[in-house]
Amino acid sequence: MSDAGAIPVAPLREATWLRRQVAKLRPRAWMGRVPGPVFQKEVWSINKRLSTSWLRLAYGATLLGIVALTFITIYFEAQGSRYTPYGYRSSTAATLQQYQSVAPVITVTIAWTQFVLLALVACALGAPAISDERRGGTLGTLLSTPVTAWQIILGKLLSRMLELTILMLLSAPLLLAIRAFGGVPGWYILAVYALTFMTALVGTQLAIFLSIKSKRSGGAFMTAVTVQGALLVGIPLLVFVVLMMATGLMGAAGGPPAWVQWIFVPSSPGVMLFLSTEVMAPDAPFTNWGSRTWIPCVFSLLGLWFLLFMISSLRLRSVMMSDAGGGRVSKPVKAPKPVVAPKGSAATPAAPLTTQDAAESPQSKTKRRASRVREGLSRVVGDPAVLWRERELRLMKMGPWTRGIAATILVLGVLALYWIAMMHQAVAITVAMVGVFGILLNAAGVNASSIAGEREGRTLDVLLTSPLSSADLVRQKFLGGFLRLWPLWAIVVVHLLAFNFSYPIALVLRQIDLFIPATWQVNWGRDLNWTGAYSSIWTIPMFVAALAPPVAMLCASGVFFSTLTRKTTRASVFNLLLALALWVAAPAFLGITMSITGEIDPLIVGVLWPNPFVLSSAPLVELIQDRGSVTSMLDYDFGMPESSGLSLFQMWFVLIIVGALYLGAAAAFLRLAAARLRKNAGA
Amino acid sequence: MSTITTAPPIQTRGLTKRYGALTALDNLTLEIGPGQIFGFIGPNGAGKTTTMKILSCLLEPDSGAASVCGFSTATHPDEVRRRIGYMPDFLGVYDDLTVDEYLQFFASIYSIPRKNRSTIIGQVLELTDLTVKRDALVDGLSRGMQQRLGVARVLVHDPQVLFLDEPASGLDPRARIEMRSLLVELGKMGKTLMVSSHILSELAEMSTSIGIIERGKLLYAGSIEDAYAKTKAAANISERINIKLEEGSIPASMIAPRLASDARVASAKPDDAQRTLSIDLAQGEHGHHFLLEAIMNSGGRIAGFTPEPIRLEDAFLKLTTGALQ
Repeated sequence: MSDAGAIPVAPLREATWLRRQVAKLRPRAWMGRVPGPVFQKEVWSINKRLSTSWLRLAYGATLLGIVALTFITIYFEAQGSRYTPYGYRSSTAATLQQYQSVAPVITVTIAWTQFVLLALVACALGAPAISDERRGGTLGTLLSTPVTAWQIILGKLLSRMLELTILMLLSAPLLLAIRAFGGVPGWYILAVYALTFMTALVGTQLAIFLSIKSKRSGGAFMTAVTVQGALLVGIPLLVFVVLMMATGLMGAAGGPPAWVQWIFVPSSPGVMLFLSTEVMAPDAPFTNWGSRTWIPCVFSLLGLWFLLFMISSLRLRSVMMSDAGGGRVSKPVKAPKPVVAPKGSAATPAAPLTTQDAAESPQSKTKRRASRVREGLSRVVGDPAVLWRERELRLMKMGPWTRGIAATILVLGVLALYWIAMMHQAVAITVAMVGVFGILLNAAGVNASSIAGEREGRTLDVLLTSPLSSADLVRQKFLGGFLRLWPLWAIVVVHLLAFNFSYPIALVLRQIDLFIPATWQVNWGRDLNWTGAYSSIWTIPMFVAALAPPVAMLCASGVFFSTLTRKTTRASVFNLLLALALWVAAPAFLGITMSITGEIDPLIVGVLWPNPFVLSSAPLVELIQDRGSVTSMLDYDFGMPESSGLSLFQMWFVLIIVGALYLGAAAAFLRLAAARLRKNAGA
Repeated sequence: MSTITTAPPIQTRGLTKRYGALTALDNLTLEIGPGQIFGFIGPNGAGKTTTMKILSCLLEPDSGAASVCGFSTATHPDEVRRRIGYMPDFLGVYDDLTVDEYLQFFASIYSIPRKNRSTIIGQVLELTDLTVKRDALVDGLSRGMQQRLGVARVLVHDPQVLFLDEPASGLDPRARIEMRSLLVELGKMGKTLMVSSHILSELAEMSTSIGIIERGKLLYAGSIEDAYAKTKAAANISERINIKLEEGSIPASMIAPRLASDARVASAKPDDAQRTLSIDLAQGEHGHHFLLEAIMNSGGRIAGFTPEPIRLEDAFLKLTTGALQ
């Protein structure tokens, strides 16, 4: 064929690698892919769910209820102040003044309520994002399309942020109305929204990140809540306290110095919100904290989010490759030697194993490393089997690196505290109370995946066709979850013991100083004076007796909620809400009601005593802090700050009665769970 | 205790189950004798899994009764559970257990004495050809191996009756053949099996009886031979013959009218492009010689002559379209 008449075509120039990368960075190249089809699908699916409407309704009602209660309380208190010796002041100015006094309190209430609730909701929304896709087998399909890992992550994140923004904006009319009456600076409202939004963003991203590896969304949710709490509140607070105590500035007038601010500012939105709120108060201790300190905090959270986003995108791709069998193989797998029957044996020689049969896939090896199973060695399953399995499960699934980092932070933090404040009873009690919080938080989640997890894993039907009765199954699940909390109990008990024996420990630690240069010497427990044990022998038994029954109830209610739903996240959220309602909202509601009516004692005492925080702190306060004032058994005076004047025997009596109530409630929850399981076995 | 030793292993009487407006099971009455491998066939959503769940005490029927080995599922569920092994269509696995631990777990649930567990597990693993995977993590097994593990699990307590919901779903051809052999072996061991599957050819090869269900109604229950006979009767034919003509032979369309005029031929469908004739013989005993003569007399040259057997698929299609109703 002749080339005559053919249109000359310029030879195609292949773009260099650099050009291709630069082209990818052009806004036109990626703007069109944001937010992308995943975002659209997620928004469509979130809006279609009935649970979304319930969430909005419940959130709005909770917010409104809390605001109404606060308003009523403050209003009536202010009303009381309008009575003068000359009569009732009813001028417009007085009314406006009254509203102005109410405004900051309402604003702070809204700020904290939405901050805490949205941090929780963010984890709940983010936790199922990837784990549900993996379980449903749809993630592989998604990643076989041109959609990239970062688009999936971003689509999931943005859709959830849209929902969280809608929830956040529910409070906007209230805050704007309050702003109209004055009394609240504009920057504070801006700070509240910015800090809440960024916390929700980081929380959602964290939950999505955790859900990539997690098969159960409930597990991802509880881990996200714990990590978020530790990352955004716990660790910064610990660092803050250690720094302040180390520099001897704790309690100093004028608050912390500027250098502490700049270490602390980027770390914690919770603490930032607290400090921003404090600035508004006329007698604020932290007056040198400017009203714009929250801005760097917002940017640091943005940086944290971006880091998490990048890691999530990379991790999603690697997990998918691993799931699809494309994981990296470090070395070729050797085929085992064929099994040959001994000479003269009547047995038929076994067929040689194929490499495929005997070799373990890279994915399986990874799973084995993550589990407790040692290669070629199965464990002996104990009786009863379900209880055995529950006990074998880990409280929190962490890889060796994560475990190491968490343990290091914990040990260093506690050591630092002991170093700084070995003699401070208040610190000992605070650490124990943080432990109480940790135990209760984990108790709320530990059993929430018990039955729902079996449903999610599609193993429940098989269990229910066995002779194991529903009641047995529920009981074993409950007990397994309860016992799985032992590491947390151990940490708190070890802490109490260590505190009690802090003097001899310090003496031992001081020996370390002999081997290091003088400038680096720590001088462990420099303020210690040996006065014997620092707490009573009753501390640990009473602490355990106070906390174990409510923990048992929470474990039992977790099992019950997990029979109600197929989603482990929902069960965890329900159980957390039960704990919040019983031990935070109910006392707050009653406290407010009491302050309005002026009627106090019997009811509030009745509600507050069973509160696990009160119940476990009372023995700690009396047996540790007030230990010095006790010289005989008759000197004990257990009670709340106001002191109820309970003797040691009376305190035990209270513990037994309250414990019996909680255990009764636990039994009732277990019965309900068993009945529910029987009724809906195959549903 | 109302034990009836002579009672059939599986029996249902007028089972009805509704989910809202949907009737999943409509007056299902069924009886399966000892040692039978009962193939349960039906389109998706026909009610197979619901039937199995009721018989496994996972669901309660709205009306009717079901019994396994003479024990009512409503009044003696514990007795029923001890005698059955249920394998759902999707094997949920505990991702942190090995094969051995997984089987130990269920051995413990079925209260098998600890000293006997290892031996029993060894036996069921050998039967299911999973011995080499004894210490492998369950989650790391291939789909086929997981299905076999599912069978191993239901055998641990040596039940009399097995309910297997789609045991071969998602398996490759080799794994399917192995699964089929395994189920036949279990049938030979005297166990009663109720097996649901969409792969009808497999059920045809291993089942001793079948049940066809559609929209909750049992359309047929009985032997496979009876099902074939009914299918043929419904189609009003006794046999189908496929004839392939040689190249250069006269077209099939010219032979077909001549064949169709014979009273013994129910229908003759020609395909000139493929040079084939598909002939349905009418009911009754007929030889094939008259066909050969008629074709050769018409000038046709025969390359192939194949009687086509009635397949379970045909029976299923005929029965589920209500041809027998």
